[in-house]
Amino acid sequence: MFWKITSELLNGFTISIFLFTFTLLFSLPLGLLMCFCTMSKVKPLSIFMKFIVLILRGTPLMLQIFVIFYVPGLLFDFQWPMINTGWEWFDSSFSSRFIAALVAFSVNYAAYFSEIYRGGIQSIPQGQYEAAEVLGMNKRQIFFKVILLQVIKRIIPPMSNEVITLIKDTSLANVIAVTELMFVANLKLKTGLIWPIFYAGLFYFIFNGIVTIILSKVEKKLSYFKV
Amino acid sequence: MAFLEVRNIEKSFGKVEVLKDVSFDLELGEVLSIIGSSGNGKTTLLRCLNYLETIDGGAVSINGEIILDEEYGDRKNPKNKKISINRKHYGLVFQQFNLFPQYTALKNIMLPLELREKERKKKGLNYLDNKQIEEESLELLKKVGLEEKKDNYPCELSGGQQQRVAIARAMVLKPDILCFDEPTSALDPELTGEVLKVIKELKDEFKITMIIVTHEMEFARNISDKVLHLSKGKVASFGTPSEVFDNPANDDTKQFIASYERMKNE
Repeated sequence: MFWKITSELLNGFTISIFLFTFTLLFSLPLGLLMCFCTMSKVKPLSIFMKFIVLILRGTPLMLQIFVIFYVPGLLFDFQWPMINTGWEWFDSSFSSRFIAALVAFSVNYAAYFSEIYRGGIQSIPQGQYEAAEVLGMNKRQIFFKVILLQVIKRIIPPMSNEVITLIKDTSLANVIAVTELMFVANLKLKTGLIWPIFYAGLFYFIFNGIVTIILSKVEKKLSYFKV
Repeated sequence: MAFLEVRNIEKSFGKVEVLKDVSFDLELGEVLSIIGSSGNGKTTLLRCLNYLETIDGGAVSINGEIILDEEYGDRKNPKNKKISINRKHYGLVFQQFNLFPQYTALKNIMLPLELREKERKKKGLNYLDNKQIEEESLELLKKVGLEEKKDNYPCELSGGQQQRVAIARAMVLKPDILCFDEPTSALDPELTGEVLKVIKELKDEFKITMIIVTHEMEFARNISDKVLHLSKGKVASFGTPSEVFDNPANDDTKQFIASYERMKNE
């Protein structure tokens, strides 16, 4: 019984990790793009992006998941695509839910990341830009050769916070029946079994521990210089 | 025709006039010190020359060729594109050093050269390879006496050492004129000496043309061929050190020198 439930929870956990990994993969670059839009000198673009970020940060993620999954179908007759992966635990009818959740998570986290990026970029002293400029560097070179690594160093602590929150937030995907870890544990709860939900908590906790160690390693790696 | 001719520079920040009709000449190999109390436009003048601020009027030429006028910096003007070319006439040393913290002392010096040589390679011009770039940078680091610190990061260096690396870095692209913006103002008093010594050596050994904004009066008097006193954004005095320090004709300069002498004697 214990092993059977463990394996069911592990299936759910795999979905959680998938959601977590792909969300990071998409939201990290998307956030940078949004950050550049927010900081753009083109006023309409900047105002538009600020408004989008305001909405994404100002409404519950759960609501955003609902909206992204249901509203395109209701308004435009658009269905999130079904992908046939051939994996037993990832059937094609499920994939549309997963993709909708992934889109919601990516966009929502990109909004948070974009603000972290912005803070990081704006915290770099003007003198760094000026020094690079008088040494003949162009905008691209200044950003990639001088500014970027300093920004990365500065934003790792707030980023770590968001990443750790994301692991736990994946459980919100259960509102559109994505069979992630909490969804599975919740099914057990409904059959009268209480302990699997605490057991599931342990999964999150251990995974978070691993991620925390990795992030602090990265932080240490960048400790050779001060900004 | 002088090597560097600065003519009638005007600059305002909003309604505040910072520079009014600033003109001076400088010959090749000469050292100019710009002195004056804080808030009188010294740093702004240097920043204007280095294209870090736009000017509202006037012009600057090197060897008779105009390299700055009020049309530079206007984004729509094609002259704006020439800034990156004209900038190469100057090297600038900042008050706050502004070394790149993620690179070693040597790499700080190499980086601008690496990027420039990469561009040259792309354009099919002859270029320095990495080994030559490193040799040249190391040579500069030797000139400022920090060869043994080449692998240290800026956070491992003292303020004086950081500023010396910054001086080497400002010279790596071989500018015609080396500019210093209060190079010792951010340093502890006991560290200013080593930086001033390096600047003196650059003048004596390499005859580099320099413009130095400074509060170090003794140093300005000793090193300069010309001294310019800026007061309320105007050129109050311009001449040799003895003309400006010993027999100033201008009342503002007289007052400024007198208050400095008083401070020194106290």
